[in-house]
Amino acid sequence: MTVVLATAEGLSSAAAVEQSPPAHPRWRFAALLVPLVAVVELLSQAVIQARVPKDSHWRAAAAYLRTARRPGDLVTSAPLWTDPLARHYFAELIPLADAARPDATRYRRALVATIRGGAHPDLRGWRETAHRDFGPITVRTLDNPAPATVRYDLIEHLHPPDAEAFRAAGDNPIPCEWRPGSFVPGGGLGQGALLPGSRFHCSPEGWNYIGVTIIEDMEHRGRRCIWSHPIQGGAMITRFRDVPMGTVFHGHHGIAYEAERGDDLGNQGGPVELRVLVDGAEAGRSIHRDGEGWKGFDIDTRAWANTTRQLTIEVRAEAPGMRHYCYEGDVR
Amino acid sequence: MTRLQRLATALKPHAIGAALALIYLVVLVRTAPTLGYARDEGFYFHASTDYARWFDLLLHDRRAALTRGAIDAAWATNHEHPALMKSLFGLSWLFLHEKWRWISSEGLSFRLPGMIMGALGLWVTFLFGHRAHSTRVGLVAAVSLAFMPRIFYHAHLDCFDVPVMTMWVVVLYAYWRSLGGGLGWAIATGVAWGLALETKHNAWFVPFLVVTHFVLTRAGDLRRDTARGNLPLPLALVSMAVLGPIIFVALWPWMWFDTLSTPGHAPGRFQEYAGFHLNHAYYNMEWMGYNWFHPPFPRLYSWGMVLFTVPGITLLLLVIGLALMLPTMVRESTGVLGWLPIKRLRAWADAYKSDDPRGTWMLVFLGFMVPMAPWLSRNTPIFGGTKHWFPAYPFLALLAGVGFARVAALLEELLRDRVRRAGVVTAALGVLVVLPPIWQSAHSHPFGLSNYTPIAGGAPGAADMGLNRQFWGFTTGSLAPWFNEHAPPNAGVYIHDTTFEAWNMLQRDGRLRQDLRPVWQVGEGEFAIVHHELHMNEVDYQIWTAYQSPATAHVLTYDGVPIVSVYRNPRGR
Repeated sequence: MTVVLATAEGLSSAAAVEQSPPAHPRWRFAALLVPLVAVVELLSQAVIQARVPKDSHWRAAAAYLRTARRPGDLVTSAPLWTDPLARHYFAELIPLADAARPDATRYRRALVATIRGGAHPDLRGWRETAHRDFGPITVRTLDNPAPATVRYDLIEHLHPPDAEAFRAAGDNPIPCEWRPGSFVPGGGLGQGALLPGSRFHCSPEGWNYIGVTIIEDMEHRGRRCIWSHPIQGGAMITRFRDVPMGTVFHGHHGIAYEAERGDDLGNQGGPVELRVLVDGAEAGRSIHRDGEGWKGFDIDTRAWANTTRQLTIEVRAEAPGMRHYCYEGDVR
Repeated sequence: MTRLQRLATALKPHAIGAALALIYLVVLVRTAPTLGYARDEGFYFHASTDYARWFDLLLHDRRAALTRGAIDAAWATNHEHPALMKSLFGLSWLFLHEKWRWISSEGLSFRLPGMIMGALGLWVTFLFGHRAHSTRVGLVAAVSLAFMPRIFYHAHLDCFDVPVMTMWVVVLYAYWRSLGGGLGWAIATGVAWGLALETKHNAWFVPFLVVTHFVLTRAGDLRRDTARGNLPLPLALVSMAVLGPIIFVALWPWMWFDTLSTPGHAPGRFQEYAGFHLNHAYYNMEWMGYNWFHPPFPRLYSWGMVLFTVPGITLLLLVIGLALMLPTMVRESTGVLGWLPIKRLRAWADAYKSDDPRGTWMLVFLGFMVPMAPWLSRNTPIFGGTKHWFPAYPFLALLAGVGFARVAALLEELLRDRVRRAGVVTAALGVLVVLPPIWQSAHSHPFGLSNYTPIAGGAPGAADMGLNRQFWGFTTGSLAPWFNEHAPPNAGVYIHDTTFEAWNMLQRDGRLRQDLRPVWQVGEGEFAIVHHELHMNEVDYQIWTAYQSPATAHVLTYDGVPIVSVYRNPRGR
């Protein structure tokens, strides 16, 4: 077989150029669509830029919120991507506990700085009772149809003498040492939740502590919770003394995003079990499995309602590797 | 026509192309000082400096420079990417900044070769459009390409994505010219492909495109010649096969040793290079509110991003251009039908065969489609946003140019009685169709990766939909004025996604105060920043944990959308 080096020689050298057929009149009119689209695109760009809330709009909304907010109100914004702006302009109105809240069930009212008709997922079903416009920003007042009264929040009491923590790997649980006010080391992508400055230190392993940190949940929201990474062949235990019991123990648990989502091959981790004990008797349990995200649970405590008890949380997992587990709960 | 007139006629398209390129280069240079430095630029500053020092050694002590020790010491840095652009970045820095002091900004001296490549891309795109169709096609294509906001952003950088786009269009232009005859263009194709390989690894796809084009458009000849015992090959393809690998290795000193295997028979450096890209890690990318980090990736990602980031008017003209050229493309490819054992089809193919042996519009179509093809697979990483299919964009723009030419002709006809002066309607339409891209690009700067077109509702609409806000941490550059004004002396700043090299270059360029220190733990300094990308929210929460406060001291926004949050450490000064 001979290999022929082919060029266009012997073929043709003329380039095929689009040949315009005689245009039907309707195509001539249809062509007007192109300049029209260009004009529409220019106008759309102008509208997009003109609708952006200005600094003065946010400041006016902040001034209003300062006067309208009552103790216990939630101040937030919608859509969710505006959250950094809300935490800037309404900084003194959004404490850490509100910014990284487990849910919004405890708030009676929410004041929501809203743009672009956004809705906040925490406030579905709430009733709008008022609104005020500040340029493109509308501050909506929403009432919670069924606000809960929190009697005791575990996070607020995770310190001695209200609480104590143990690492129970054998028969004798080892107490974890309370270490307050340390420097918070680390930070950066992939590092997950940081070691909090104040915590119950349970072993030299950096992850083996019980303390209040903030995890990124599977929807990338920040959740303030009690880090309680399970251990091999045992349980991490936290005891709260003198807890004023209500009718329900309401809580959530989750695993930090990068640990719950699994690796590049789709490998995930095993379940984590949380048990709630009142004076040593099991009141209920909840199991968290990968993919469940920030999972809520309610445990019936009517049997102990209106009494003061010791509340114990035990966390276990058969396969505790990469279980960057965190929970929160309150008594209602 | 005199020889001088002929020369002037021949040079006219180059004069237009050069003017477009020069204007674009001036715009890029003038707008660069407000654009922060991206992560990858930081890596290439480092690599380019190492390479430049080797070139300096080569100039002064050739024998010492050519030892394996000297070569490996310099070229080991960032050896997962080929050397051409990093060599140019480094040489530009060495001569234009360090030695001759022609460019005072160190960052600009690194970026200049990338900008020149972007400008060259317009020049060649214009030439392609001009020669394949008309000057108006070339003009609209070049300007539409220049002012796609993502192209406009990346054209500023000392990175490879715009340069490799340019190299694709250069290779295909040379190949197309080579089909018109002559050895020169065939050799140029081989040289250009070698340089393309040396620019970025996506150039390895070019031969698939060329072979596909040749088979589609010359299938009839193939059949005839193979029946005679001959195998016709385009000279350009032979040239590519010979010159491409030679240039690839020759210009990359890292490949001069252990190229295919080590003395111990372990896989060589080429296999390492190929393995890096064939087994590349998956990074995170937001699309429709979900953080995608491993396959299968969303099938519509690439086309969706084209829809949301290429100006709408350019896309409309593309659709018109595609519709117009479809019959031509079919006619250019009818030779394939000759392979089928159906007489009727063969007769139809013969009757409708295109008289363009170069298969121009099939080449342009493949030039558009082949760079997009890897994303037909749901296993192809999507972390690069749009930049990984940039080589498609000159051809997208050429098809848009064809759409423009036809619409202009129709409007000229429609308005013939009202506008008597020839060309006025075309000129007015030309201005109108490039205005939205120019406005969008101007408005996108210096937030090019945060920009979305009005089809997406702009940046706020994209935030509503859950599209990626940015990557590479370059927007720190836009915070420089705030830090210069608000930071106490010697303040430490946790710089999140920004590399030390990128931060340092802002200081070397005089854009950021020299006393400000980057720190590596969120609780360490007086400030911490977060670049807003969905999967980076965890850094926000780390800062909340360290500072025990979610309050931001400053939020850098683009069209009202948060780009970077700055936190002030309550325990700081």
